[in-house]
Amino acid sequence: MAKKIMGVVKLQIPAGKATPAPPVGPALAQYQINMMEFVKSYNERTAGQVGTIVPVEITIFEDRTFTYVLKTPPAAELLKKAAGIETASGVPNRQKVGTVTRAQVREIAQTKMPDLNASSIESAMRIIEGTARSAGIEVVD
Amino acid sequence: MRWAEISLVTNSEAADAVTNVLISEGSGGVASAVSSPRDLGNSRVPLAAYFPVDDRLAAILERIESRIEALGDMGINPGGAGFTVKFVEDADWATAWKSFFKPLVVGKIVVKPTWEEFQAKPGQLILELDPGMAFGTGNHPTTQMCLMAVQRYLEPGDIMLDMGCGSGILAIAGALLGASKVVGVEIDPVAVKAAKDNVAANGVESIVQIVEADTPSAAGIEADLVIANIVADVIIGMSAELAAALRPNGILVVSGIIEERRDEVADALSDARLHIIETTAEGEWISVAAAKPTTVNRQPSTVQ
Repeated sequence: MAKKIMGVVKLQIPAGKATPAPPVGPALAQYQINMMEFVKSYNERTAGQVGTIVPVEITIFEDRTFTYVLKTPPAAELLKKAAGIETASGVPNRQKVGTVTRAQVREIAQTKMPDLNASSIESAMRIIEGTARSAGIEVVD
Repeated sequence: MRWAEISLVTNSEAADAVTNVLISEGSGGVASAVSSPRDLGNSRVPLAAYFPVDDRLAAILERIESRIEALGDMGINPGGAGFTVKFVEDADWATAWKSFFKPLVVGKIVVKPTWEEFQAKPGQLILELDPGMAFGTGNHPTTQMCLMAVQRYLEPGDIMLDMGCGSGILAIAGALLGASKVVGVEIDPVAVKAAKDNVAANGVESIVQIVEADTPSAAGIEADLVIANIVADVIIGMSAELAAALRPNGILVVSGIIEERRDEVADALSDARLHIIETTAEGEWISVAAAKPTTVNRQPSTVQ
């Protein structure tokens, strides 16, 4: 049915481990949708990716039904994977925790292009490089 | 338990980096709410993260502030609007939604959420429904128009086809109203499961069968009443097949159609050799009922 959309909520949450606790609870409660239905379904579909963040975009209709789509992992997740590290640096200026090559950055930029609102691959790469630096990951040639 | 809700507005360029800061500082995730899909491409990105209120909170907030500020040194402009902190009490978020769904009376059918109590008056038929994720809660005008149509056109003993049955609400209504057999066809496996659960909750498994498919012919029946509450484009494309699933004298009810598409749908139904007998409207939505003539004028067959 073509129904009027009440809202769209984007969540960046741990794969396979969604619960009605924040941020899922407060973000969806205002739309009064069947939250457990979402939580169960999301966890089932992302069970294979536990340990990473899998963003999801939930579209809520005027009769409180909803659909959702899973999105590409956040840049920081892809960078950590590319650098082969588990956790990003909390103090990126002082502590470097890994390196990625510019080719890897380009690859990640291509993956993330649809979500980044970037006008060109170069500007997408600039965003990814900045994200890498903010996570204590150095970009090397 | 109390939570500190950190809200800030950043841009699409910095969103991932800011999200990473918030999650690495211990937020169980980050939420971003926009009012319509059009805003998704917007460069302005509102974010919200949550932290338990305890003695670590002050230090966490300080670190978040300085780490977001430091993004500027890494070539990322986080927007610089700063963040606001609001305290929220732990609530029963998981079940709050249920308060929205109340028993809904549509003609003599009462669509009742499975967890609600309802005392039926004489003549009322209770339709148990757990809306789940699937479409068809009874709260949408097109579903209500179709519920009325089933009550108007279905005769006891009829065979009914519900094309795009969603939660199964219309198919179950058919069974409650005395159909001898109902087949609900649905393309979405999530809805198929919800529909089967709802059929069981109403104890009409012996009458209603739910089939996962995308064509009316998958039902394998000729029906007295065919209902298709989908969208105009699908209905237009499927009108010949919907007509073919009807017995002579049978009635097709289509809905999920916005007013502007009325003529296109009417043309498609005429092309399928059906006669429109009724059009109802509610708000911007319309529902059209059309009958299949007893004797169909066949096209002259091509001579080889």
